[in-house]
Amino acid sequence: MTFQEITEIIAAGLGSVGFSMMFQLHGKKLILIGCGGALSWFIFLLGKNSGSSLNGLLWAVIVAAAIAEIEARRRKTPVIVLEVPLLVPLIPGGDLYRMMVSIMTKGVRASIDPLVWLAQEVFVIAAGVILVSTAASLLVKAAHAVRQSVR
Amino acid sequence: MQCIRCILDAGELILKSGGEISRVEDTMTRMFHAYGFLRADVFTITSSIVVTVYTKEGEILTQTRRVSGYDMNLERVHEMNQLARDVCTSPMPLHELERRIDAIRTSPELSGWKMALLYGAVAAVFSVFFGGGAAEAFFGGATGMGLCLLLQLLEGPVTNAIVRYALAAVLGGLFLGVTRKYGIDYAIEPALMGNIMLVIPGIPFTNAIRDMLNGDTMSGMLRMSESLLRTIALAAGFVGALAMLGSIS
Repeated sequence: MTFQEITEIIAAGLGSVGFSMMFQLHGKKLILIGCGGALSWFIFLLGKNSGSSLNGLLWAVIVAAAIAEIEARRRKTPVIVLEVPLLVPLIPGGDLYRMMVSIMTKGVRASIDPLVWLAQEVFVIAAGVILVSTAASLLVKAAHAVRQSVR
Repeated sequence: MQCIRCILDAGELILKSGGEISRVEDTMTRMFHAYGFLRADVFTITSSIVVTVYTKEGEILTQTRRVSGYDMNLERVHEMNQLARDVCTSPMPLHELERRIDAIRTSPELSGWKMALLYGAVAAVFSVFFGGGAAEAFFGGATGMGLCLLLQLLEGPVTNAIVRYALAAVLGGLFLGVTRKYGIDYAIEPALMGNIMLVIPGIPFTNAIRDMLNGDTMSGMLRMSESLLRTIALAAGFVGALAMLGSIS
């Protein structure tokens, strides 16, 4: 792991905490969000270094969304409260910038590659959130059904 | 009826603060049942709440609430969720419910200057995240602070949020471009990316996905379109300003 990557992981955690504060969150939630944001970026970097950025992004989103789903139930708070700041470092702001620069300087036709790449990233984030949310909902229903049958 | 008005206030507060459509509908329905209504049909989209309730006396009452002016505040979503849980466990007198909703609505927020400092700090952190150093963090942070103050300043005169963000992005891009061109030599990309991250509509985007997943396709599409338009306006504003100055090639 390079120095830049370690800096990125720390910045991802701090960025998540900063966003939480912008959304007026406070208290112990911030520690969880900071650690979760850093962890999700660490997982993204692992995937990226092993050859697939999109794979890394998917796993990072899955981990961030899973932390949000589990902790939201434990803390009796809406999932969205934790999920949004946890996903912040994974938002493809850099690629959005690169795509816009490409469109402005080379035109839309020559910018299909960054456009498709950005669309893929957005799709992967959405897919990860949907996957975890569906799995969490199924697990909760299954646990409820098991409890009912035991009674 | 005071009860319907109070529960509509609760739903409106969740929606305005960044809650999902299904949460608004589910919370309101549960609260209506807790207060003894036989049936509650709640329909919510991003800009309106319609509710029809059936009373024990056989009356059918409908009220509509137009919702505008969003203020993303996830702590309020959390607190409203807690209040709804309390109501469902043991319904409180309506004056008490009204008082608690008002207390959540008027709960203290970060002041304008504190928020501007926070914007600056987050923009600086993300400038470093994108590979910047001290100079990039400084200029990224200064732009972030300026963006926040500008967005607050433009809130009154420019009512259209997309135009407001685009305008702020153009001015932010111009500030970065001018300081780069006539001031200190630093890498403009990390500072700019840090600021793009700062104003990207994260809550509406995540909500759009969750809304569509929960079957609220119309609201999800509305939120997705809004997020997309705002994101394009922001990126075009920043990059367009730099292109005007010849700072990108």
